Amino acid sequence: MQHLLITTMLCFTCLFFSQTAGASPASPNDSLLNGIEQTIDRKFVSSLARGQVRPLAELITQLEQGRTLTRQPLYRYWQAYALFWQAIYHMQQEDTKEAEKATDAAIALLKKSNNKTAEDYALLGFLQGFSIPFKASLRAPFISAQASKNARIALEMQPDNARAYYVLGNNDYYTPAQFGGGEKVEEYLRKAIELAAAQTPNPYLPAWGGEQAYEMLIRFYEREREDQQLEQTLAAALRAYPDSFRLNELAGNLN
Amino acid sequence: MAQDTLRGVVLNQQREPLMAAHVYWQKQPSLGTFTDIQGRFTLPFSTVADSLRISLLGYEETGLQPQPGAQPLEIFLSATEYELSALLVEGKDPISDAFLLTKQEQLDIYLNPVAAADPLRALINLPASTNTSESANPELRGSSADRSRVLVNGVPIYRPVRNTQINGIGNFSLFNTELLQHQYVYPTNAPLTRGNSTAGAVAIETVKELPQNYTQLSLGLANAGVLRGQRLDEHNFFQVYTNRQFSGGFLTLNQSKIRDLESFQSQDAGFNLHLEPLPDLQVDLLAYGIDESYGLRLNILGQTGPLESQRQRYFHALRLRKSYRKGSLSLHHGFDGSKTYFTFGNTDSRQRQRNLYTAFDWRRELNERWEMQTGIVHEQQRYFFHDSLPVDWFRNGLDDPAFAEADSLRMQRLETYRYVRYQPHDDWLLQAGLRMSLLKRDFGRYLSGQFSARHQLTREQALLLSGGYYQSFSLPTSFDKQIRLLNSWQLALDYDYLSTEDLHLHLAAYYKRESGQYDPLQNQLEDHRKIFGLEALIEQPLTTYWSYSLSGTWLQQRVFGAGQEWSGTQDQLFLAKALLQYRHPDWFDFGLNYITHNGLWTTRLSPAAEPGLAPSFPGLPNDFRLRPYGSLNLSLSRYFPWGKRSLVLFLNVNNLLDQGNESNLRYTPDFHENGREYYQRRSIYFGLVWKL
Repeated sequence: MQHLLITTMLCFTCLFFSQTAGASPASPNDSLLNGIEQTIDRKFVSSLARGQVRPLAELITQLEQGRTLTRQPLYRYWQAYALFWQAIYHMQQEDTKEAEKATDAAIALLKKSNNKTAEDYALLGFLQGFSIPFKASLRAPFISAQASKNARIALEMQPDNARAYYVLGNNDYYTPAQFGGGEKVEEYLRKAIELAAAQTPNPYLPAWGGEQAYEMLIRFYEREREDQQLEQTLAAALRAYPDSFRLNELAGNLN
Repeated sequence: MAQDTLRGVVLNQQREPLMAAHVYWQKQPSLGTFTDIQGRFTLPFSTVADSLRISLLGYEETGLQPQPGAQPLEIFLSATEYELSALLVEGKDPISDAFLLTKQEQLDIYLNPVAAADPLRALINLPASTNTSESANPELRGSSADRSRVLVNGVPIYRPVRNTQINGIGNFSLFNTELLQHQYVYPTNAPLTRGNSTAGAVAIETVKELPQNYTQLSLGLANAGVLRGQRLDEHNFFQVYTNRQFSGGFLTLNQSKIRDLESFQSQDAGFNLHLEPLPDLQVDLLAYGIDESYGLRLNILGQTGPLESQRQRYFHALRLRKSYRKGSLSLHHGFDGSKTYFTFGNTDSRQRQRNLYTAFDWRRELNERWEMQTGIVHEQQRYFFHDSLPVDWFRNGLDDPAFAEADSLRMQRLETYRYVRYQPHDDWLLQAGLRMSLLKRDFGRYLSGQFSARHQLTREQALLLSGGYYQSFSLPTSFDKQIRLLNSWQLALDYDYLSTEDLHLHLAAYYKRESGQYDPLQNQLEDHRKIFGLEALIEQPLTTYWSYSLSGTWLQQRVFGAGQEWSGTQDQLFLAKALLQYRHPDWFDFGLNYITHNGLWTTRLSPAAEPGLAPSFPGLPNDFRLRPYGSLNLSLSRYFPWGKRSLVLFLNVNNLLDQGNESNLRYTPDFHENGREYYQRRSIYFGLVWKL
């Protein structure tokens, strides 16, 4: 699961972070948080290119300072999100210990918040799912259940949260059939795609989830050998995200 | 120019700026913008008559029609009034979680080799567990078991063990791990929201989710049972189970090692119901009944003979919880009734007991930093005794004189509490609570109080300082037919280090001053006892499959009374525990656990000056130290999954080295020392669990 996620995230980021940067800046007094999702992506690419974690680490420090000085809750979210990318970077460097450390730090950061938003819960659920391969295998079902629970809390707070649906679909995809997995993957991921497409771009708020949901859904149809659905979904994915390296690569592999 | 541009600031009700709010014209949304970190925005006026819309996640969307000139605008957004569902409330830990030592989940219990799948036995390996009696009843940080409290969904269940007196396999709790979601352990300073405990508390939460229907069959050397988990719909379900315990196979296999235990049997049944009739209303009901009996051959004060005991018990714990924005209101109701009979020599005891418990809790988040909980608790306990007891406490033979005694006791308490939690900073958490009695009758008005400060030193290290003064009630027996007010002062300092390599280091120091304890042998009330303890724990995974834990506890337990000072049974006790585990999902789980200590203190008796007179005490109480104790325990299990079904085979060997661990001195009828009483020798148990 983690390998797939890493590859996906990596490719999305390296070659396609520009397409989500559609929102216009709001105010003459811009801040670190304006377009932060793209900033994190750029820093991640920069870290990879240099083979140093420093660009990402510096950004995380800035976010930490912002969080401490302003008590603006969005800093916490983006710091956790940046830590996730730091974990991906460490995975690329084949340093699983550091990757686990960054993931755990991101989870701890979100858990500490007393006033979690729907986005916080969705990211927390996502990170918990991502952390499973680092943990003892017997704990996997319990962490997975916790991840799903947090995604469902996110949906109770914001029923149109695309990322929460993505987390649910992702979890269901990896849940073994004997534990009831795989039955709602399609429903959740389709919902994530639909909601992500309808979301108004906001330079301060997260936009990820839709493209990842497409990729996961295509893999699901491939696993279930539903060729017709696979073709239609792939075509729709490429229409929605024509510049996506990963979706294009996936299309190439499937063809 | 100014007339062409609209400027403003978006604030919450506390006048704090709101960032990332979407501000746009309803008819021309393309002219929209977002507020910056100061909550400010600037956008061109709409070219047509239009309404300005402002939306932000977590806030109610609002609209207005601004007029040119009235600038900058101040726009206030109200936080969304979420209908907080049971799911959200359940997702929160208790308000008092800073006092928490550990939170055990169902899997932690199943994988604990000492636990034998029993939730309360899973505590034994914790350094805070100073259990030296091989009982499942929690003994925490040097305090006796009856001082600690065990709660199920907020309702106290007293003496929550089966076959309490059996020196054998009967030392299990009344709870089924399959019904348990979490177990919170507070070894000292049990939060006043959890009752008023003069020792620690263990709070059990039953499961809130059932992913699928299932049936579980279990068959062991001394047990056969069936459990059914049935979903009613997505949120509602029940679990029902029954077990029959029988002694034939177990006693036959372990005949040479378990000589004192002659028979045991029980039949029990449990029912756990979870309902969410409304998204914000949660109902949890656990009901349990057991009919049990056992027979032993014992030596008590020089008399050797059979002891027989029977008990029927039923309890239920009900919780209704209504969730609402930033809080919840809970009603707890509990009933616990039992009939107990036991006979030994000239002692014949029949006891009936009825406890009724009702409590209301109200929890509310005041803001991001402050949270409070308040509640009121009413409890009524009734005890009825019909006994035949020895005329002289030291003459308990079958032919010795006895007298009949019938008595009843009643206790009622009404308490209220307030509890606040304040988080001034991400790394600091402060908590304080007060609990007071509202009834003067019986024990007068009393007040308990506590505080705690938890500081996250670094990402890996945390420090917890907690202290308080507590009051609870003793649990009467046929030999001590009184309900006494117990007191305890407690101060504890806990340090935790948890590295990303999962190295966990725990250090603790604590001091307690307890009073109200009764010593039945001396037939006197202690003035007070002082307990000082040190704990250290290290646990770490060695490889993917191997892990270990080592812990050491040192206890000083001094008792004061009648102008004298003497040792408690656990004075100068060094208790060490080691655990080695191997868990491979494709192979097997293996656990090896060793518990050792340097011996308990006991009180010696000397022969009476003349036949028929009471024995004398050659020294102060607890003047003799029994030999060091050691017990190596092995557990082995193999999991076989296929499709939606699974089979688990397990084997447990207790006291693998067959060490003779002394539990007390043994006497002849004229009180000459005659060897030792021993804890359980080596015993073997195996079985299977089949999940359909």
